[in-house]
Amino acid sequence: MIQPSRLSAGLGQRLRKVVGEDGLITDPNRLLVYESDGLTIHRWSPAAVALPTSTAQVAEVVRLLAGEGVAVVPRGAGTGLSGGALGGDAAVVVATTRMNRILELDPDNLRAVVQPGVVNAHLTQAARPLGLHYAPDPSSQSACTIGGNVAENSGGPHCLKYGVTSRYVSGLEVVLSDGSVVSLGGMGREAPGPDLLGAFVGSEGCYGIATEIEVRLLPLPGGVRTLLAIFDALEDAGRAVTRIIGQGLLPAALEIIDGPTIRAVESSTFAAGYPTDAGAALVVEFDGVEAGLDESALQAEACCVEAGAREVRHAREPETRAALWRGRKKAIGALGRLAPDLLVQDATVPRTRLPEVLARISEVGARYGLTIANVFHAGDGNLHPNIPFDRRDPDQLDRVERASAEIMKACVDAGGTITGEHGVGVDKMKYMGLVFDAPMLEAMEAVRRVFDPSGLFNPGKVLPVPAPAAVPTEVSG
Amino acid sequence: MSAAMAAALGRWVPSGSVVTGEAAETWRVGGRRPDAVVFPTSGDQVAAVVAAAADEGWRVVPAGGGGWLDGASAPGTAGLTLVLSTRRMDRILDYEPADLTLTAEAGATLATIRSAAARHGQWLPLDAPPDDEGTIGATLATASSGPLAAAFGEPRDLALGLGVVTGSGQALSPGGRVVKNVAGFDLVRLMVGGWGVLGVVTEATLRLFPRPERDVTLLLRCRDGQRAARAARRVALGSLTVPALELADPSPTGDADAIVSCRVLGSSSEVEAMAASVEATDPDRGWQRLPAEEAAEVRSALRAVDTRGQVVLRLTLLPALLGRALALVGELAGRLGLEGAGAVETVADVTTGRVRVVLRSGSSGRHVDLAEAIRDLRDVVEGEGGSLTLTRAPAALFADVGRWGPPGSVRRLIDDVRSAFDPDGLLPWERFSAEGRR
Repeated sequence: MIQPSRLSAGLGQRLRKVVGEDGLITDPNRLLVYESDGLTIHRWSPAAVALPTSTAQVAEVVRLLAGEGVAVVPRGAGTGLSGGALGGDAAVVVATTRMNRILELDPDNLRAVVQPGVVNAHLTQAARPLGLHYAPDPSSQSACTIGGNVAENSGGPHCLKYGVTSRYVSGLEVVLSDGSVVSLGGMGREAPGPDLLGAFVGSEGCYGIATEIEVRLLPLPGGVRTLLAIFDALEDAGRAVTRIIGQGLLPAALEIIDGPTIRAVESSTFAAGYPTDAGAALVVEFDGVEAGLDESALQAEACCVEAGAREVRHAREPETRAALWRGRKKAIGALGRLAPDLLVQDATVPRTRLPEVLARISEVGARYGLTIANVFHAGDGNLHPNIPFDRRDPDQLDRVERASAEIMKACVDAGGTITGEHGVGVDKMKYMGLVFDAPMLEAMEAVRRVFDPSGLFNPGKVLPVPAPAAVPTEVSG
Repeated sequence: MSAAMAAALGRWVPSGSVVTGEAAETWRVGGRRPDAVVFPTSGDQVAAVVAAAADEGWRVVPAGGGGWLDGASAPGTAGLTLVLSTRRMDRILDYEPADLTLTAEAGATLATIRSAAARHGQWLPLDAPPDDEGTIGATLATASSGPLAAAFGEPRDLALGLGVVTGSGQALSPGGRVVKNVAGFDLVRLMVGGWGVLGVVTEATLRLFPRPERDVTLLLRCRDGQRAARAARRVALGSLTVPALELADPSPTGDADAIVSCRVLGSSSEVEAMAASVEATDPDRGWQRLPAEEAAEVRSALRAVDTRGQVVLRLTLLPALLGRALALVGELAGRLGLEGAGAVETVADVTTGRVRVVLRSGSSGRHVDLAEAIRDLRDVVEGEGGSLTLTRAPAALFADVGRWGPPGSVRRLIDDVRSAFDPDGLLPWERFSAEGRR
């Protein structure tokens, strides 16, 4: 599997001149770290990894690579779940992990300016003493970078109330494929013409590399209430969600963990004290003005009880709230220990269609003889069916892929879409045709060509055409 | 020529859907009467009309109710001009209250959407100027929003999916009906705020919210704009995210009281707590809670300020520079000799730092002075990191000053996005290229 780097010696030298001796990785053993992201089923080892420390270095690296027609693959911490930051042996990964400075914290304007490699949770930690926080909170927030969040338009449990990354990015400095540096949006000014900033967020590294990111911060909520409701059946938890929304309540988060996931968590080192015979657990969280919180929490508790909850736990202090959340936050980690591989899906359906879609997922799992564990953002209909499996077993791999395709189709048929927050990457390209017709795919390609006329930024991702620049060493192939 | 246009269009739209001559008078584009106005009744008809226009070489200016057909929309070339109004496409196509999503045709007004949602205790928190008679299509196309955006999101955050017919006549349906969606490259955010230059919005799926139980507006009167700015900033920097915070200054020269208006929404107990915390920001306890009727009057007066003058600017600086922004408006008024209450009216969105400036008396007579003064002010504002946008003006002033300042490093991107969706320049691309002379 390990082959010598295909980067030409001359190009390697020129890149080292820009990023320094220790800023370029070509050693095949060290490149292994970069061969996959959080979704380990896809593995493409890059020709090299460049680790620039400034916008000027990024621009120079991109210019050098583009000059030789070498593909450029932006990467943050590599926690993505769609295979979006993989290089392939004819591409150079440009990782932003050394660009990890918070450049400005500006409480007067409720904003911060950061380099792309700043870890999501670090920004909130830095802002907290000022009474502020950065709202988008992907589950990987202790490791993932803001730059990666911008590329994926990441969500998180609390985007039910607060919205996803695009709502919080107010300005960007971006390096395009010709090495030019452009500035998109910006707080305190109206950018001319169409919303190029909005278009860039979520472009999965295909439009350029964001080298400076201006984000909006919010005041810390005055108080928080967390409920954990335990149900005998998954459908009951779903009905509780419908009731809560129907009451006109707007929780900060509404998260469901199903029975198989609870049992995986409880049998792992992450055991959170959820009953192992439960059919589902529902985490409900309210935040905001202290005065309204108890009332909202009581109303939500009543909804859970009416829907058949057998137990409802409460917490208001940070430590006790963290205990209620533990089963949700550690779910993917626990599921990852059940088998060598874990397929994580990310489809979104209209909330009212959740019950039928969940029933369908369970039926598909049974038919293919697979365990499907569901962890999901119930409030916004964003499902994460997880399938633990062993990719070394070709029959199992085949069943997983066929079950996945059926689940995707069921979600799209229910009026949903193939990805709510993880992005398309390489993993969901094959499903793009389920949601978009040819004119839509062509229009997306046209916009990609506006930002990157060279086609060198993250080729072979998102859109089913054109073909990847290099033949990937994909395991499933 | 108009008769020939009407005949050609008659193949694609129902009879009575095309007006020409005198009847087109109220649809003037930048001071010039269009050769025809067409009112399609479906997305398919929009696509057919755009295709026909491409064949015939007509220019197409998309419109809803016609409120944005200002000077910046005027096609600069000779040729025939067709206004395409979606006003007769005004149906609610789908509404699933339990999903908090609603799909409407582009010509549905904000009022239509409001009353549909109200029946289920929900609302679309979009208070774009000037009032609820604006169509959703035009509101999204111009990315128009009001003070509620601070808490509920800008139009691009509220639009989940769109129907669009591009300048090449292609029907596209970016986005979808779900609140979280990252499938493929986002074209919704590109089309929202696309000013009809990339395509005609034909329908939109919107994210609704539960209607808050209580809605209270507090008002503080201050002797002048600077005092009001300081009071407003104290609220903005408090520990609460305030739903809507505006400042209105009817006279930058200080001859009349300025006001700060603060709208708090939520459950009874939340609203009580928020109102108390707003009141506590003023040592003199000057905040008063307005009776519902008066609150609604104040809100609509602030919202509609753009309609109260021939020339409207939007001056934007970082929110912390609100006082500076008001001072710059005062300097502009002084230079133009616009003194006395009502000559210049200012409404600022305190949270975003967007200041709407309405120039009234005397703003029509001395075009040269006005254009120069606006350009100079734009230079100053841009030098301080902000922007100055001309939002309403006579055609000549638009031609001189431009809607926006120079696009700088994104010029190529803007041009290329435009030609990706409208390669033949059918749609009013002048809206993007109009950056004025210097």
